[in-house]
Amino acid sequence: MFRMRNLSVAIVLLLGMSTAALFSGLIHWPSAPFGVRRPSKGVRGGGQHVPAGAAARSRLRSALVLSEADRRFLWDTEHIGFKIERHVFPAWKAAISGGRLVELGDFFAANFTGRDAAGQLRVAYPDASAARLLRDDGMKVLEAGRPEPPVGPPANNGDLSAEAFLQRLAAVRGRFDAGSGHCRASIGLVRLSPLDRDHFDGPWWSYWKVHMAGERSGMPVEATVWLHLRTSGLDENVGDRRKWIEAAELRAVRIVEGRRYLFQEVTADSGIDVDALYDNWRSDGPFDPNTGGVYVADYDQDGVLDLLIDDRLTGPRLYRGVGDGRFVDVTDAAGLGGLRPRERAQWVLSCWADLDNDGDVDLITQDRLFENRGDGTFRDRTADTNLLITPAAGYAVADFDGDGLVDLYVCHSGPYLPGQRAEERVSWIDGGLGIDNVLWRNLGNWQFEDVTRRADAGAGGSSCFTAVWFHANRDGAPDLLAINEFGRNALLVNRFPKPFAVQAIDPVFGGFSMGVTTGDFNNDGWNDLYVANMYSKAGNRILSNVDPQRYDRTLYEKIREGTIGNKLYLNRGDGTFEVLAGDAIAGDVGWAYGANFADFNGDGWLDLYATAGFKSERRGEPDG
Amino acid sequence: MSQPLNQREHCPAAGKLDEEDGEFWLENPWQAHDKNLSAFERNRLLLNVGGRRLVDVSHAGGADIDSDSRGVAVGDFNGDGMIDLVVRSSGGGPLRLFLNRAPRTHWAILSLRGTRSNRLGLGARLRLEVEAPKDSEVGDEPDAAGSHTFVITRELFPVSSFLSQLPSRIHVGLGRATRIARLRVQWPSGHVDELTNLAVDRHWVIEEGGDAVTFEEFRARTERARHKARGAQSDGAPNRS
Repeated sequence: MFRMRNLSVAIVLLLGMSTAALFSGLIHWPSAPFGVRRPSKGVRGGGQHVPAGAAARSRLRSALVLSEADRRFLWDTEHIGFKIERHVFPAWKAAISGGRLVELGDFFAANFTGRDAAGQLRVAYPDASAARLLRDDGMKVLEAGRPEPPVGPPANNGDLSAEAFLQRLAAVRGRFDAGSGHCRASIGLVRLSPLDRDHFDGPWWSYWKVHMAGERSGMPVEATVWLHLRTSGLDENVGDRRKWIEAAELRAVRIVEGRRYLFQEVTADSGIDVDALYDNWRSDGPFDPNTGGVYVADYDQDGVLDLLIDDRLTGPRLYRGVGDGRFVDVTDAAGLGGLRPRERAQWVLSCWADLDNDGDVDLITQDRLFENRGDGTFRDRTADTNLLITPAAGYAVADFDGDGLVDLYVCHSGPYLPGQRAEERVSWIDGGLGIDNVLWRNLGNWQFEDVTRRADAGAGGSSCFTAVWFHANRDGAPDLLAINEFGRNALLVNRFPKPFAVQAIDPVFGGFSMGVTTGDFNNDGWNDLYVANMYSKAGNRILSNVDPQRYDRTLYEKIREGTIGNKLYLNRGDGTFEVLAGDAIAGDVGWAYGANFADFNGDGWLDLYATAGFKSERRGEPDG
Repeated sequence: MSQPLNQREHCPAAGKLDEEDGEFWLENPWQAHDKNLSAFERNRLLLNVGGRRLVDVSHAGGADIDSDSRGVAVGDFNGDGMIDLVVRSSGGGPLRLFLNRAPRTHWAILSLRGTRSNRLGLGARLRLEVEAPKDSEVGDEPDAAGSHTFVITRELFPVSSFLSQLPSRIHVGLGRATRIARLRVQWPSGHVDELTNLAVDRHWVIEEGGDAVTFEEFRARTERARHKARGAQSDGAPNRS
């Protein structure tokens, strides 16, 4: 079932949320949401004698199927996009990285006109409000213009020649040291479309996000430039052609300069045996999407944080923090040795929780429960508890009923009991498994009561990897946000012993959510939520080429929500949330998983670290 | 066919596919394959700008690894008051540890000891008031309400975001502020404790209905209590701290 879970994840992912998907993913989106298959089976047939449900499904299907012409248009457009990424961008990346922008002059038509629409750079960070406690963390952000993607071609009456336009880019490149070793460029194709979709040989427009990362005098510099282009007709030989850029606007520039790198990697000196852990990149074995986690606690109450690292190869290992950034493996001494994952129970998940309320954290790992004896060792309590420790995707710990004992919420994304069957999840959108999460109320003495039904806290039979407790309101009882991989995320407002009130926090759809974290982002006294979702550059690009009027409106919106990336939900304090997405919160993180808030620069405001990346096979090869 | 309502159908390519050039197409995502999928995506470090924006500073962050990362946890692992990072990945270095090298600021770590509430105080809300330092160089302006007070609210939950968990303590950055003028702890039991004038750069332990002691003092007390209990107990029952 573990494998099933991962596959279900994979699916969505694949399904098209991938990022650089232009390459392959390209057509994930049109295919998945819009594809036409087996028309002989009567997709549009309908007929008088089909049952009502089937008729409704048939109507819906019709609404979901683009015409063959539309589908072909999307495919052909993406195919040319693939060729641009494969055969045009490398030349641009090399010229920018090497600081030889003049080499790009060849791409510009003789009648080219350009415009600098970004204007003057201004300081975006540090600003007054961000810097009330801290004036200087060595980080500076400069910005000009707005990077939101345009919806049509740029004007072609700019005042800049190709040389002058390239000089604008060169000025940005000039913030790095000269020489290709000091600047690494990458380019994202954000938009691509012919002006007239029936004439690929007519003019096109596109939107590029050019990213540069490197150094100046040993100090980190990062720059992003957004280019809005109008080109002549494009075809799959675009890589061999030149002089096709007819007009361009420099829409926005963002520059980040640091006096030093904020973080330094110290893995090799940490004392942690990372070579023993499973790594898909090193292994010849099958790809495993989730290989293990890391759980922080001060288990021995010496003030220094310790790590429980679990892994599909090693099982859980306990590393005691020494205090200087190094760790010592104390697994065996602590009585946690010999817990290699078993064949039949190969889920890898752990959780610290003070279940006996003695002030030190006990441990759930794999299918075991261990009591922290307070002397640095653990005692296996699995036989003494009625807690069902079964395959699961996540735990969330809080005393939800305020009785002084911490309780446990268990997230499920698949069957977890022998003989349990999930409903067949057919739909990508709103598809549930019929398997609820479980809320365990701690009764003391290692006994628990399953109050899921009484509290109505199962979160709708969805597929859930992550849930967090936080205070959504002022009643003092912890509330819960449970993410949903295939649908709307659920806010469970705690009214125990009355059933939780289930509220959707997304107007339309969640965004194929994977992870969630919580913290007071805007320092207004309310904990906010950050949800890690799928993001698809290709999906956004493709959707921009689909006329919403020609598609089922609700589904279109849901699919769109599923491509835009991570979201930040600002808690208004009345059970509602203001949702921030897109560039305002750098939402295009990627195929996102875990994320956490922390005040990394110490200025009193919570920053964020967000992970991304699903399956990396070969560097430099097309991505889907 | 494949569309949003059906995961199982297959969808062949709708047009040209240049496989020699590396272009690929999966007719159904379930099929086995060895393709890049959202590959080599960099993890991001996003800077909070005034509570309204997150700005991507990943490169200068120095932790923008392109591993296939999953879980992330944070905490001060080297005792310098700045928050460090540990990242778990399924590929590209299964676990990577990063120490924070940002210019040091003042800070506080707050742990709780519940008496009526659960012992670790999970679910408590902590409200800190610190005086924003005056800075003549930039002309320190009070906020819209005319106050120099900077208020930080934190809820204590050991958050598990994805295959990870945060410790049961609060770690706040305090910039150049040199005192916590006021700390209000709203315990899960409903009890409220108000403390004033706490020094920064300390790990404080706050007891429900009691006072705040430094972690060192708390530990010494615990040891004394344990010692006493050991002396009192002759049956050798395990001790609880």
